[in-house]
Amino acid sequence: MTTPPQVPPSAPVPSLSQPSAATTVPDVIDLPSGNELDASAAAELQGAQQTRLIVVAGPVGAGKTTLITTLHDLFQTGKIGGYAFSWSRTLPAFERRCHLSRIASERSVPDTERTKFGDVRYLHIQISGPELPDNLLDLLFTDVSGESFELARDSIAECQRLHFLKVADDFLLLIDCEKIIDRKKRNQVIHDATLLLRSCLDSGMLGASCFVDVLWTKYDFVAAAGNGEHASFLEKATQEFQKQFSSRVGKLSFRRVAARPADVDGLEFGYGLPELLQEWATESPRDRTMDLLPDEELGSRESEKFLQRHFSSESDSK
Amino acid sequence: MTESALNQFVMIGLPATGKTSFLAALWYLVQHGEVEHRLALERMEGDSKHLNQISSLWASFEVVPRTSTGIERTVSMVLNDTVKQKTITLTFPDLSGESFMSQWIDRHFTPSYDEFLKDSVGGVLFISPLNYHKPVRIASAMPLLKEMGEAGQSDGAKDDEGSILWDPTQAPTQVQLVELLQFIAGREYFKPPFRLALVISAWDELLKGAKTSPAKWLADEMPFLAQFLESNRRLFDFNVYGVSAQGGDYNKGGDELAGLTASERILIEGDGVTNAHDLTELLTWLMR
Repeated sequence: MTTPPQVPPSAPVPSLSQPSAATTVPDVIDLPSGNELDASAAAELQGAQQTRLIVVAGPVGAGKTTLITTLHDLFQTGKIGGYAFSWSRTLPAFERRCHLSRIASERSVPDTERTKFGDVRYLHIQISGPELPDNLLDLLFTDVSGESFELARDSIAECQRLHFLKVADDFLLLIDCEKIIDRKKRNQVIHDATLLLRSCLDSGMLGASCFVDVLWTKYDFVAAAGNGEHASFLEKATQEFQKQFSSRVGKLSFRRVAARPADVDGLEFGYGLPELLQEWATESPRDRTMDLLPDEELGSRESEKFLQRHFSSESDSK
Repeated sequence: MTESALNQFVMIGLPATGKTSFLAALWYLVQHGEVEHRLALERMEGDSKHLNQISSLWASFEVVPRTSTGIERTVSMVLNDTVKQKTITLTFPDLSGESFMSQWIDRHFTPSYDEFLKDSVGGVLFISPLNYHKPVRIASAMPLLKEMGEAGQSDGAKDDEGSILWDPTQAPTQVQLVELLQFIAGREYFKPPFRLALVISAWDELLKGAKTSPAKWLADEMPFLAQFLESNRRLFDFNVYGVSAQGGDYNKGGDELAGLTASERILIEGDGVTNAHDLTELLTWLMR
């Protein structure tokens, strides 16, 4: 016999706002908010699955949030250097941050909503790609106000309040090239950046295995200036960073980035980001240190946890 | 003839994506022998008033009204699989597109949808190629918009700097759809792989342009969703179809369409489709 449908065909489902006296039916089934993650949710994610924590550091206006949201925007047009979008716990949070760069905002010039001073928040993207362990990699980005890093630069105690530094896999130090092309400001910009990195290291917050990437953000300003002097200044600054810090961190790299470049020849939207993603996907500071996780926990990621939940007996039997 | 268990599928789609038109065409198709189709109506069962109403409108070239917000209706069909000679009972919830938009905005399921999803073995995700939001960046669009004089014309709420405030309903469609699928995969009862037929509706409109396939259209126009699905094949076993339930625009091609038998108006294209008029091939793929 055919099993009769549980609900009569074409019958409106009984109103759930008036449940029968015998049952208690919730009005709604709550779903994840999709908001940026707080420290507790980020820790939960890191505990449940292998996650790469990327600290995006720099002063106010250096382009921290723009850098992260541009990754989200780039994935909306296709894969990034062979890596595909796989999952995100914070889609609405990304969308809100992208809004001022979209025509829906009715702005004539793109912008990014300023991150407010306060507690650290995190944005999440999971990527997939053939070279990755289990084909997947979870990326967790800090979204912290520039004011917090300015305080950390000036005070060891303030720096030690930034607990996320302790577990960072990558520390992106953003240096604003719009200021670099100003001869009166550029030395101070480099000076402030070195102070911030020094504070993070001297406070014991940034681990010796952490990868540090110095990002020359808004590089389109240097490219548009077409001035060899600026390039020469960046070269000298690079040498200074290497001299001071290369022996104190897991890896010290330098990259030119223009997340949202002006119309400059050779600089595409998201310039420099595919190379950054490639680095995250192919080289881990954890590869250079002891393996902290037992084998059975490796490869436990966002989508995989569903599979583990449902296929665990299958894999056990193999 | 053997009997089979209930086959329950969710129909997912934002507003005006063709869910109800699909049901109307399907209900007509399975009752008539105008074209070959694998699944045929075996018997009427229960209350078919809603299906009868929408299929009558469909047959007389009238636009099938969209499902009203707030109405949660379930429809069932008892069909005969003419190849396997067995009876299949298909059950779908016919929910409004606004209810799916509400999932994205308000971040909740209704308990009835959650219950239905729990017992569903797959789903059909509807996408309109005529009405979807793309993530358009200012830098890429502003020169053209200025030329057309169309920059900054809406009257939405604005912030202190005169920018329109973020409105989640205007978020890119592909992002909204990814979130709806993440919601499904995130439920504790979710059993992968979840079979998912993606329906690009109004396919006749796309056939007028450059030749494309449903899967290529999805990859080109909604790469974020396409990447999500490719990355999560172990969670979602999917196939992409182009479907024209109406056959064309009633206002523009009504006379031409009227010359066809009603079931010939239906078009379906996609991997594995052997009969371009047989909507039930999509259902047999879901039940394979």
